[in-house]
Amino acid sequence: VFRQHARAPDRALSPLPNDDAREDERLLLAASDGDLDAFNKLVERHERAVFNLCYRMLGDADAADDAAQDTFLKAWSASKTFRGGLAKPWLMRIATNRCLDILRSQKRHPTSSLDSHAEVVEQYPLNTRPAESPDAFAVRVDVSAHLERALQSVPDDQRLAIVLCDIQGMSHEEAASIMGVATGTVKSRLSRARARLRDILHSDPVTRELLQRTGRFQSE
Amino acid sequence: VNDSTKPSRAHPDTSHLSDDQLSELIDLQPSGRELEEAVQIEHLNSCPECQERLDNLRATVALFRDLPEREPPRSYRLPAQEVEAPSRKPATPFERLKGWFTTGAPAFRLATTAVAILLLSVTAVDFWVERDQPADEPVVERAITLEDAAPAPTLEAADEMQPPADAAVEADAEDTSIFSIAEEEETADEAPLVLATPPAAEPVLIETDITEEGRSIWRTVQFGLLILLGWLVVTWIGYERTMKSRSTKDSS
Repeated sequence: VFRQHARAPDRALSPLPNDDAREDERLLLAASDGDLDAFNKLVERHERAVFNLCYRMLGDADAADDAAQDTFLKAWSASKTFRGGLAKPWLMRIATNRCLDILRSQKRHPTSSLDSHAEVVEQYPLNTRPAESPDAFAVRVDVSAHLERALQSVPDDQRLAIVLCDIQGMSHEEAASIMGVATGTVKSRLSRARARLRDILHSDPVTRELLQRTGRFQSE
Repeated sequence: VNDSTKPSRAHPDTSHLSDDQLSELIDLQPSGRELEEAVQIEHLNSCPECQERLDNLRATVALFRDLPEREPPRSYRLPAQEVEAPSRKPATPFERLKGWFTTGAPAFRLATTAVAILLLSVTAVDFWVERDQPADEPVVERAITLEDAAPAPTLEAADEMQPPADAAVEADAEDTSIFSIAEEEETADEAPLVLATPPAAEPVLIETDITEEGRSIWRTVQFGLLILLGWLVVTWIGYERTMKSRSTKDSS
């Protein structure tokens, strides 16, 4: 049973190749000396990951856009303090802190943002996969919207664990360094978040039907 | 399947696996041989309920792992005209000095400046006192030496101290002790030793003692102020570093 369910390390979970990490570090060290071109190359390499982290954490594309912009501006101004190391976790940590600040601010001044998912899907469409039928693509878009909504109902710290470990594909150790907590805390938050998401998805009949159509969930 | 909307970490039936254990099983790598033998695996083989919970948890995780990435709406490259270069240029000594006295807690600023001014004043006063010393200071110093080394002898004592006539010649040639110097002085003046001590020596000595005591107190004050200034500077640097690292942490 174990072998059957054991997951081989996939692309996302494999560590960043050394060459990429070294190139990141070189670019960031050049940026710390005021080289804007080097910094912009670094932006190009990581803007997708940073935007997606912000988007998954905030659940709103416009807020994620602003947060990603703020992240890179802060990274530029803080680059002078960079003393070497891995650039991606450093950027992710800045993005994470920015998102948590925004979420704290939203809690103080709550506004409705969960209804905007349909607009988001329209505004920032998913990439179509090669040889994907229109029906399959439509189901995937629906499932994605439901998953994103479910993700927003998980507490911030647990959502961060899911976003970093399961969506961004980082190791528990990398996530722990970004979140500033112990690895055990990451595992615990991850476990709670997974269980909560499983229960949310399974308790919603529409989602359950969608997922059964994709063959993901077993019927009770 | 657990239908509860709340996450259940421990299964109500303790014989089943908890969500933590199931979550850990999902993250296990195929090479984890020691875990293959773990009791959870055995339990999974014999418990359809846990098996189903694990499958659903695994399906949930797989859904999120497969969640497609969103395209960023735009590039986040920073345009040159909108950003300032990180301030890496070296500060001039004046800027550094200015920075020292314009940053940090006002209490540190005030205390350090006050102590520095006090130390400067004390040192300046000491300098002027030193400069105003009388020119015959070496004589005074010698008098101190003589008096300290040999208190004013009485006539009897002076007699006792007189070396024999034969030995006096040798002593004149070889002895360089203070007694022989005093003797030379006595001989030159052709007066008894006790009269060689000038009557004014006593007031001079008293005056010198007071000056020395004053100086030692003065130097103690200077030393104390220096220590205080050093402590303030070190504490200030520590405070600045703490604040800087805190602000860097906040910005990152």
